[in-house]
Amino acid sequence: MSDPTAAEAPLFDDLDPRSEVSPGKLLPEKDVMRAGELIRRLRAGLGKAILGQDELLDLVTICLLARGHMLLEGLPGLGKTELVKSLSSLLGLEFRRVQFTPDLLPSDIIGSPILEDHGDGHRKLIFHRGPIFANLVLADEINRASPKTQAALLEAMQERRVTIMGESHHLPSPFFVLATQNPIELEGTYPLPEAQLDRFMFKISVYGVSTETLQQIISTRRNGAPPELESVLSGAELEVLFDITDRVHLPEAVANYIARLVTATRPEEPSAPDHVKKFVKFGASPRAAIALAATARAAALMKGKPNAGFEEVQRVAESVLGHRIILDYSARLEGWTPPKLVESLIESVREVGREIPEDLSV
Amino acid sequence: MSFEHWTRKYLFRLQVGQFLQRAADWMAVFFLCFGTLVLISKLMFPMLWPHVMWLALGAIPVAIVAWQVSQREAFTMTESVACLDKKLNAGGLLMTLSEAPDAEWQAHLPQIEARWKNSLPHYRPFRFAKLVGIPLLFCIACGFVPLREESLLEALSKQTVAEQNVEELKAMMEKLKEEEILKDEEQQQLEEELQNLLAEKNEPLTHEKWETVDALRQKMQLRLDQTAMTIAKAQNAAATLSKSGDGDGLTPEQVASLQAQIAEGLQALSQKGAGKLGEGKLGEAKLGANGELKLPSDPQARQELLEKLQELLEQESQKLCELRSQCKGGNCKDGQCAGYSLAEMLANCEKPGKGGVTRGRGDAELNYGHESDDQGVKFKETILPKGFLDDPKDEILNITLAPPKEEIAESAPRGAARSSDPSTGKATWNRKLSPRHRQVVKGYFNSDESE
Repeated sequence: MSDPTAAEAPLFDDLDPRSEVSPGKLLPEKDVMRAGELIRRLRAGLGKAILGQDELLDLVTICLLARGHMLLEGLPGLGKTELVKSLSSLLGLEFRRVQFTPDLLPSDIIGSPILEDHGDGHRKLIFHRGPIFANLVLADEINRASPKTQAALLEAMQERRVTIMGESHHLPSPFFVLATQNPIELEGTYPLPEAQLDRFMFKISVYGVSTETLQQIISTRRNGAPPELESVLSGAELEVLFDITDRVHLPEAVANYIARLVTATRPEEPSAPDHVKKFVKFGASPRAAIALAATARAAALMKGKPNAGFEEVQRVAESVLGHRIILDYSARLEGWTPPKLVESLIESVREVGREIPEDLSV
Repeated sequence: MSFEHWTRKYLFRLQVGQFLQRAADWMAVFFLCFGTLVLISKLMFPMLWPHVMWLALGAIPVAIVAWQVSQREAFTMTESVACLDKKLNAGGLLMTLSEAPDAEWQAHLPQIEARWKNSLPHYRPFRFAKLVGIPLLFCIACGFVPLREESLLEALSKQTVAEQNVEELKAMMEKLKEEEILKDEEQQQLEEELQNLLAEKNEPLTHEKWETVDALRQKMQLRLDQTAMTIAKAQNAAATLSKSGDGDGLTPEQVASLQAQIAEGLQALSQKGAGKLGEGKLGEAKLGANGELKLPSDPQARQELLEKLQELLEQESQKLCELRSQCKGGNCKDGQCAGYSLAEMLANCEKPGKGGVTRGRGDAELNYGHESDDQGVKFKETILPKGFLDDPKDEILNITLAPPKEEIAESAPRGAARSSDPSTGKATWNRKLSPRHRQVVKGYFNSDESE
């Protein structure tokens, strides 16, 4: 039996990753099959490193395919950092880790200009790149840094570049920020501002694993040391995967469903459900709708489909919308949480905008 | 079959469903309105009832409008395909293929026709039946509501009793004027009284006014009856003279009396104008200065003249009969008017109940008026009209060639006041007086002697 994590020959020799998405034409079945094979490789590698967190690993893969940044939230020791490290190993990308602390400065992340002596009496400010100049940046315990430092990531995450002394420096492609944070109720944490939360495509809550999984971890991991992982995807293959994800068809009705779902999170909209009007302070932004569409495409590709459907949207809705909906204080009193609200939205917003006439039975 | 076939079919069913939904709302309102209209027309405007049924055809335009409105709100093909995709659990592939056809991926759609068929929506028009059923039953129930006899509209448009009577009098007056039956001063007086009534016709009908109206009517009818009777007598006299030839079987006094009756009839005719006597051979019959009739001495010419006179008088009598009938509300049946013949007229005159000084006429109509003010009073008490019979004149009513036949039962019907059997007039004098009355009668006749 061959090791699924072992590096294999490139599968997309005949596919130009820079080819434009041709509208009105579906992905060929063989491309979808090949992409599915690559995704399975990646997914199997992750499964080898992180045990008993299948849903979490699926969501991480989806977020990766959608080229989105990810925020993992959970108590310490649940394997968040390990997950990101495993991902970097499997992708063979340049990986940097930044441990966020209260005294961390923005320049510690982005880099800073340093005055250098050239020997001939001339001195010049030379920009020394920070750890953010990598393909995969792990911002560990991001909410332990001050808001000022957190804000340093804003431009980098959205524009994929940093500007120092009026000069812009492009970040390498692909670029992902994978952040972890402890629940905000813990001491010594600074909650992420809404603007920065919005830049994370997914916010995934990490929960503890079952007894069986724990037993398996104890049995297979000596001193908790993870298995050695080899790269399963090259940079070029990853680019092709991104391209194929972009070419996954998003039907008009599904796009309409996403739009209605996002609109329903806004309390000022007349069509919003009553509980949204009552408990939500700020709804999701258009960026959320874009993220929903992109992640639904990625989820469809994971399932080996050439198109996204309603199920894919519903699968990723909680991870995309949960951290973008700001609840009122009364919501806490009533026991409403963002995931619960998203769940109720999925129930209340119809997939097709119209209801079947009552005189018909379907 | 391609998936387009099923998506079209699905869309059509959705459109029908939309139509049923919209039509149910509209038809329910329509049937409610229609039923209400049927009810209103039956209870308030019965004359409109059969025409209201035509409004039932309004269901067709309502259905057409409902279809058009449902088309405007119809499901789009995208929505329809999304519904079918969901039903088939195709995961969005059907939606995708409808937007970007691809033969390769089409093979991944369900291939079993039964599955497509089962995914189509089935017609279950329960809502339609629920919404339309009740108003429809209401409509049917309204159809069984009995028609009201008199509509409110009719009652509203109907004139008051006063107006009706005054209008009738006016019409009667016009007819009498046309026939020139009334004398000038009589006509003027009647017109004045009629004008007064016309001026007050919108005011409540008091019993004084009612009496005036009735008196006027009676006057006009009396004048008409008198003229008709005169002409009928003349007609009868002419017939008798014509039958007797040279006056055989008649005494000279009787002939003179008959001629006088003819002369009277001709005078009445001359009052009506038209100069009928001057036409043809009737010109030979002339009235003297004292109103005496002069007939030709030649028997044959005289016979012809009498026949012509008889014919003319019959014609006039017929006209008057029609007029009388019209004035009495057109009661003639089959062209035969009651009281046409002299005998009938005489019989009518002798009938009891014509009224008198102390009692109303026997044929006075019972009027069920609408103007009773008092609550609970069904009939309005009215003062019966005064009789208009003149004092009986000492005149010869008829001369016959043979003694009159006595038809006891017809000529003098048994009355409650008479103790004896019915008989002719002669019997009146033979009536036995009761013993208790004898002394009174004797006392009356002997009063002069005692004094």
